[in-house]
Amino acid sequence: MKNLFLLTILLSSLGLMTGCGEAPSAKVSSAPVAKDSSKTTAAKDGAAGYQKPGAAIGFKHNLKGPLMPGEGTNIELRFAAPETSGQMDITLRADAELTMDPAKNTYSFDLSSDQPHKISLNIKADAGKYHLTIFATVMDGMGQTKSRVFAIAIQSGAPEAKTVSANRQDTPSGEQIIVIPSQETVIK
Amino acid sequence: MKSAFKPVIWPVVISVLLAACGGGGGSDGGSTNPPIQPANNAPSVSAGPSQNVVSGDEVTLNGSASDSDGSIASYSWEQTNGAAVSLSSTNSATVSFTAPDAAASLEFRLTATDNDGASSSSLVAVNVLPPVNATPTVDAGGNQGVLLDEAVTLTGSATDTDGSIISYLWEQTAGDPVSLSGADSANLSFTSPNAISSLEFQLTVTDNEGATATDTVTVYVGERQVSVSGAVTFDLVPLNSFTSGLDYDNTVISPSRGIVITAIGESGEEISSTTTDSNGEYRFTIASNTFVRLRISARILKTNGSTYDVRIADNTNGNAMYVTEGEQFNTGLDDHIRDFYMASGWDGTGYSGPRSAGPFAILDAIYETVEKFGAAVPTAQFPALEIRWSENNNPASGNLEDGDVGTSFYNGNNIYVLGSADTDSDEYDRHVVIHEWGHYFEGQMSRADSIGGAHATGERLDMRVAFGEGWGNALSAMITDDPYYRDSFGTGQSSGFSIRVETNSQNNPGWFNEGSVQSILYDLYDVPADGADSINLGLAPIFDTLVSSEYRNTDYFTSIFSFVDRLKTLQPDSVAQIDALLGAQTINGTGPDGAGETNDGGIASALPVYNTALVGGSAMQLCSTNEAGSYNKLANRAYVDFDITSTGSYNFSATDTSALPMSDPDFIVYKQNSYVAIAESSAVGTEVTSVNFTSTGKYRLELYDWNNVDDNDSAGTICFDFQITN
Repeated sequence: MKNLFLLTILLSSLGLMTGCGEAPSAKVSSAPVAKDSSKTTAAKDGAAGYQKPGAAIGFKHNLKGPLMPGEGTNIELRFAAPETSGQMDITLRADAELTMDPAKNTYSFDLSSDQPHKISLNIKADAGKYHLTIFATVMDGMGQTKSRVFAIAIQSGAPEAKTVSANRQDTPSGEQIIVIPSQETVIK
Repeated sequence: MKSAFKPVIWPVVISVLLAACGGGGGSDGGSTNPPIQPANNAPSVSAGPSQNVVSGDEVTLNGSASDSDGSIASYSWEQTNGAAVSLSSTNSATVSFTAPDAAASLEFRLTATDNDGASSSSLVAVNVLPPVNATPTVDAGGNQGVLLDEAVTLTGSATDTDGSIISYLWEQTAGDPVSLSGADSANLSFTSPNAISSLEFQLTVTDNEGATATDTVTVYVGERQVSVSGAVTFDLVPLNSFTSGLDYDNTVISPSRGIVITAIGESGEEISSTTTDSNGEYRFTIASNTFVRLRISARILKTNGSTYDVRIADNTNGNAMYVTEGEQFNTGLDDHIRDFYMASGWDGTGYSGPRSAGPFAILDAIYETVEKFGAAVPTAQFPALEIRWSENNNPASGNLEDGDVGTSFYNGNNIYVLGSADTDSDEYDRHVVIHEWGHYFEGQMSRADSIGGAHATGERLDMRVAFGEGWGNALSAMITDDPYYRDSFGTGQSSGFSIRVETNSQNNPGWFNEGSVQSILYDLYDVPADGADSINLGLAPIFDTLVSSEYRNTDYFTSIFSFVDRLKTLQPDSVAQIDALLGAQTINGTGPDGAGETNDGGIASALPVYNTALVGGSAMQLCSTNEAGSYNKLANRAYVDFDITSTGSYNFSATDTSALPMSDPDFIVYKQNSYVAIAESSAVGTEVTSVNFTSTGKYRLELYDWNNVDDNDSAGTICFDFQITN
C-alpha cells in the first residue's frame, strides 16, 4: 500500500516535469485503456514527441508555475548525455529583464563524472513573460560536435491577454491572412 | 489495494483478546454464538449519463465504480435493449461502439464486482438519432475577366457527400442585367454587356434532402484583357560550410517558385489567380480598366500531375497565412510588369527589418522536395500541409500559440518551425525543414511507428525511432544532394553543427542506430559508389517502397527491417547490393521482423528483435533495461509477436521476477499500427489485463517497465514472466 502510494505520488510529480520538456501530444488512442492517469501514453506516439536532430543531451528543470513578481525563485537545471568521456559546454542567456544569480552564464561539465550535471539558479523578474535560453554542446563518440538549444518560458505574475496583430485580416472568402511587407517594383 | 488485514478478522481478534482478559461475552453469558462478521458493502457503480448520439457516431460509455471497503475486481458491460451493437470490450470501465445506421434506443448495463464478490449494476440509455443531412458544397468557379460583348460561360460544380444534387439555379445579383441561358444547370451562358462593368452571379444548389448551398462569382467586363506579369524573389540565406551557421554575406536573391499570386479587386474579392513558374515568374490576364492589387501568398500549389498544396501560417496569430501585397492600380489598357521582393530583414548585425523572406525560404525547401518527388513519381499526390512558423517560435516547450514550440517538429498534422532570432531559427535550415517534411510524408503517405523523443546518431535507439529519424536525415540529403545535414543557431545565427549523412563509419552501428539507417538510405539513392555502396536507385524505388500497401500494413513495427524487406521484393535484381549496405552497418536480420539478427548492440535482451509468444503457452522471460538510456532507447521495450487464432477474450500478464521494489511493468497491444489495448496501471511488480479480440491474425505487443520509459526515472534491468492465456 505504501509503495503504491509513493509510486503514485512520484509518477504524478514526474508527469508534471515531463510536461516541461516535451512537444505537445496530438494522437489520442481509442483503444481499451487500463492506466494510471499520470502516465502519458499519448506521448509515446511519434507525432507527439518528434524532435529535430541534434546533440543527445537530456535536459530537465524543476520550475513549476509562474514567479512572484520581484521575488527570487530557486530553480535547478539538469543535463545528461550518453557520452562517458569528453565535455559538455552550457551557455545560459536570460532576457534582459530576467536576472540570474549567479550571473555566470557559461558552464563546463566533465562527462566522465556522475550525471546528471546540475546548475542551480535564483531567478527574478518583474511581471511579464521571459525566456531563459540554454545552448548545450557535446562531442559525440565519433568526435563530432553537436548542439541543442533549450529554453524555459518563464511567466512572472499573471499572463497578459494576447493581442491580435494589426496585420491580420479576414478575406471575403473567410481565409485569415497576415500581411507582411515586400518591395514592389513597377517596371511597366 | 485492500489492507492486508481483512475486516472480517478484526471481531475474531477482539473476541480473543477479551476472552484472554476475562471479560467480554454477550448478554447471555456463556453463549457460543460465533462473532458477528460485518457485511461486505456492495460497490457503487455508475454507467454514466444517458447520451444522444447520431447514427454512425463512435460512442464511448464512461462507467465508473468504487468500493467503500475494498476494490473493484471486475467490470462487465452488456447490452439490454435496442439494435445490437458490437462493444469494443466488455470488461473494462470504458467501452465504445459505433452507433447503428438507423435511429434507435439502446440501453446498456454495467456491472461491477468487488474483491469480495458483491456486485452492483447501473443502466445507461443511448438515444441514436437519424443521420443529419450534410449540406452540399458548391463552387461557382473563379472570378474572371472578359471582353465587351463576349460570349461567356460560367462553369459551376457541386457535390453532396450523403446524397445527390437535384437542382442548380443561377441568378444575377449585381451589374448590368444580361440574358441568362442554362440558369437551371451547372453551366451558365450569357453575352457580356457592351460597357465596362462588373457582373456578379450567384449559384444555388439543392440536394435530395432539400439542403441548399450558394456561391458567387464576379465577371469583370473590359475593353480588352491586359497582361500583368513579373517576378517574385526572396532572400535565400545560405549556410556556411565551415561553421554551419547562416552566411548572410552570401545571401542570394532567389526566385519564389510555385507561389500563388492573386489579383484582388476593390472589395477584396479574387479576380484571377496563378502560380509562379520555376523561375519565379508569373503572368495572368485581367480585364482592362479594373482596379486591382496583387497578393503573393506564402503558399505553393499544384493541381495537376503530381499535386501539392503547402502554406505557411503564423501560429502566434491564429494560424493566419502569410501574404504580401502590392499597391492598388488600374489595369487601364496597357500591359503591366510588377516585381516583388521579400527581404530577410538582416542589416549586417541583426534583424532590424521585417523578416518577410522567412516563410518563402521554408516554402522553397518544400518546393524543391515535392518537385523532385514529382519528377521521379509523376503520380505522387501530396496531401495538403500547413507549416507554422513565427519569429516568436522558440525552443521553450509550452503553448504553441505563444510560440513556445520547443523544437522544429511534425505533430501529426502540421510542421512547426523555429524562428527565434539569436536563439534557434530554422527557416533557412533546409535540411531541418526537409527532415520534418519527411515525418509528414511518413505520417500522411506511408507509415510512422516512431515514438519520438530525443535522439542522435550513434545512440542505440528504439528501432522505430532509428528508422524515422534516419529517414528524415537521409531525405534531407537526397533532396538537396548535400550529404551534410546542417542546423544553425545562436547569436546572429552564426553557430551550427553538421551531420554527414553519408558517413559509413558509425559509433554503435546497427538496426537501432539512425546513423546506420541514414547511411543505408542515402547510399540507396546516391550515384557515387563508396565503401559497400554500389547501388543507385534514385528516389522512385524508395518512394514506391514507403507508400506500398505491404509496407504500410506490415504486421511488424516500421524499421529498417520492414523497409528493406519490401524494397528487396520490389527490386529483386538489387538484393545483393542492398545486403552489402546492410552488412556494412552490421545488420544481418532478415524479413520484416529482423529474424536471425545477431547484433544486440551490447545489450543481450535486445535480441531477438521479436519474441514470439505462444498463446496458452508457458510464461516467457522478457526484460526492460535502461543500459542505452531511457524512453526511446534500445531494449527499453521488449517486442512480442503472437497469433490469435480464434476471437474472444485473452488474459495478458507480466510479473516482475527481479524483485525490484518499484518495478512497474506495462504493455501495449497493437494490430499493425493501431492500438488494441493499453495496460499501464500503476500496480507494482505486475500488470494484468484482459483483451477481447474481435478478429484473428497477427498481433504485436511492446512490454516495458514504466521507470525505463519515463524520462524522469529509470529502473535498470528488470525482467518479467510474460504470459498470454485464454
